[in-house]
Amino acid sequence: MIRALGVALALAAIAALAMIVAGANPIVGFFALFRGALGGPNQIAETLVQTTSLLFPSLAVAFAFRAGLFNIGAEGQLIIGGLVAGLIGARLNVPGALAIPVILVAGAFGGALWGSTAGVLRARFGGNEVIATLMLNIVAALLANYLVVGPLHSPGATGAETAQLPESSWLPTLLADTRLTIALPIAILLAFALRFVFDRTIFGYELRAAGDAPEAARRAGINLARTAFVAMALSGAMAGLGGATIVTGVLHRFNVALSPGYGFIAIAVALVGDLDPLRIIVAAFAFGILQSGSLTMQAYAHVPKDVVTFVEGLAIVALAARRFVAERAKTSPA
Amino acid sequence: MMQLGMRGCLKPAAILLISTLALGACSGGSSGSGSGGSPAKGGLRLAMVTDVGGLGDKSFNDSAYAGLKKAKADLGADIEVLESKSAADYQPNLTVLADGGYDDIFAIGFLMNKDLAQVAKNHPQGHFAIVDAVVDLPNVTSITFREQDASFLAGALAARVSKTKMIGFLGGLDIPLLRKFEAGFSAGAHQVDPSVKVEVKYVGSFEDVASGKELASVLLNDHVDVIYVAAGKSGLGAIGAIRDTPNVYAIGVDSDQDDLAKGKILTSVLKRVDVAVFHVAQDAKNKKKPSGHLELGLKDDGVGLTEFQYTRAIIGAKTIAEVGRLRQAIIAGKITPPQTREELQNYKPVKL
Repeated sequence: MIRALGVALALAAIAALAMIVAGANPIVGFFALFRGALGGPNQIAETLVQTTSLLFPSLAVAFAFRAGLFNIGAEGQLIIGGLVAGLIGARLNVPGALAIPVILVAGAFGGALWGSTAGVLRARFGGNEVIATLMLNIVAALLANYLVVGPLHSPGATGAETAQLPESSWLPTLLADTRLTIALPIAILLAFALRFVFDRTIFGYELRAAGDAPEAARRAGINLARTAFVAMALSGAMAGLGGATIVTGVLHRFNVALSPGYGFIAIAVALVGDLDPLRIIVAAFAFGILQSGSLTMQAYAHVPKDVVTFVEGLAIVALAARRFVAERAKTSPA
Repeated sequence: MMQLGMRGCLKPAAILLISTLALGACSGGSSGSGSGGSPAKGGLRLAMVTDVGGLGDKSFNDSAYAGLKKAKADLGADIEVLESKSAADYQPNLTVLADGGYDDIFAIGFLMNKDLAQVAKNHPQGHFAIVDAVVDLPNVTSITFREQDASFLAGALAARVSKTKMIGFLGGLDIPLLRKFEAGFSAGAHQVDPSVKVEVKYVGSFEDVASGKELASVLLNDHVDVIYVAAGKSGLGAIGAIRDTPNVYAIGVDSDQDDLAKGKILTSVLKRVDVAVFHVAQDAKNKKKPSGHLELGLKDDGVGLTEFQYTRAIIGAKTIAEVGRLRQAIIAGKITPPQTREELQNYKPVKL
C-alpha cells in the first residue's frame, strides 16, 4: 500500500509538471479532475463505468501474469470480444434475459479465441507471448474495422460500427439515467472468483507454480505448455467479456473506437494492484477517476486530455520496468 | 529489501509533488486560459465535442473549430473544445458541457447522433447542434449539407475536361452520406454529356492510403482520366497516383486540396462546416429561434467549388462559364441534383 501511495504521489507530481508545461494551472486541474470524477452521483457513476471497463482487462492481465505470461494483448482481446458481442447483439432478436447472457458469453469466447492464438504460439512453438499479443492487437483493430464496414456491415449502421443493439439486450442499469450497469458487480464477482481460484484450487496453484518457478513446476509434473495455453485463453476471455460489457452496457453498439486503450492501461492497473484481484479493484477505481476526470479537466482547467494519457503511459513504463528488473534480480545468479 | 527501498521513495515523491504544486500556484495563473470555467457574464458561450479524429485532422474537426474561432473573433464568444479519446467519451463530454450551461454545444460528426439524442433529452433547457446527422428533437439543430449540389458541378466539370469520356468516383465508405457525392457527380456529368461513363469505386475506409492509391491506379488503367476523390485520408493515396500520371486529374473534397498537387487537382468540392457552425452561433447571438434542421447548399456557401487557381488554363473559360450557369440553375431551383442512387436512376438532364 505504501508503494502504491508513493507511486501515486510521484505520478501526481509528474502530472502537475505536465499541466504547467501545457499552460494550465495544476491546482485548478486537480480540482477539476476530482470534481469531474467524484463531484456528484452522475460523476461517480461515470467513474464507476470507467472502473468497470478497466477492471476486466486488468484482471485478464493479472491472471496471465500470475501464470508467468505477459499479456499485452488485452486491448486486442477486448476489441474482438466487443466485435463478436456487437455483431451478434445487433442481429439477435430474442428476449433480453436470453440475449444478454448469449452476448456476454460470445464476447468472452471471442476474447478467448484471440488470447489462445497467442497461447498456441507459445505452447506449440515457444513463441514469445509479448510479441504475439502485441501484434495481435493491431490485427484485431484492423480486422474489426474491415468486418464492420465490409462483409459484416449491419444494415442501418453508419461509419465503422454495427447497428444499435435492441433495447432489450442492453445491460440493466444500477442507477437511472446513467451508464452504470450490472457489469460492475459482474467484474467485482470475477475478481473474488479469481482470488478464490488462486488461493484455494489446484488449478490456481498450478498456474502460480508455472509462473513463479517454471522449472520446479515442470519437474513436479505440471504441463507448462497446457498451462500457458489455458492461461492465455482465460485471460483473453476476461478481456473479451470486458469488451462485450462496453458494447451491451455503455455504447449499445460496437464501434471500432470503443476503447481509449483500456487494455494497455490495464497493465498499469494490474501492477499497481500487485496482481492481487481484490487490490486491483481499488487500483481500477483510482485509474477510473483519472479516466473520467480527464474529460472535466479539459473543460474546466484547459488541461489537454493527452496529459492523462501521458501519465498513464509513464505509469505503465515505470511499473513494468520495475517488475522486470525485480524478475531479473531474482532469476539471474548474482 | 525492496519494501525498504519503496518506503524510502515515498518522501521524495511527496516533496516533489508539493513543490510542483507550489510552482504551479505561482506560475500557472498566468496562463490566461480563463480557468475555472467562469465566463464573462451575459456573453455568448459556445462549445464543441470532436470525434476521435480530434483537432489537427485537417478536415471536419478543424473546420468546425475554425467556425468557433470566427465566432470568438467576430461575436466575442467564449469557446471551448473537448476532444474524445474513444466512442465512450462522446456522451460524458456532451454531458459535461451541457451541465456547464453553454448557449450552443456542437457535436461534430454523425457518429455522435445517438449520444447527442440522449444528452439532449436529459438537458431539455440546453441547446445542441450536430453535423451530418438529423436528430429530431426540439432543442437540437441538425446541420446537413447539399453535397450533391457541389458534386453535380464537379461532375459537369469532369465530363467536360475528360478526353477519354471515362470519369471515376472514388468514395471512402459506401454509406448514404457518400452516395450523395456519388449521385450528384454522376448526374452532373450526364447533364453536360450523356455519353460519358462514370466508374464508381469505394475504398472501404477513410484511412487506408495504400488502397486508395491502388484503386486509383485501377481506374487510371481503365482509361479514366478524371477522378473525384471523396475518401478522406485514403484519398491522399489516390491523389498521389494521379500526381505521378500525365494527363489525368483529380477533384478534391471537403477542404481546399488544390495545393496538394498543383495543376493536377481541377478543383475541390468544399463542405464548409465552419460556415455552418458560425451560422448557428450567429443565430444564438441574435437570440433568433434556432432552426431544427439547417441544410446548407450552394446559395449559403455551405458547399461550393474552389476557384481553379492552378487549373484555369486546363479547364478553359467556356467550361468555367458553363459550370457557373449550372450553379445559378441549381440555386434558382431549375435543377435538383439527385442524392441517392434511386433518384439518380430517375434523373433526366434538364434543358436550360
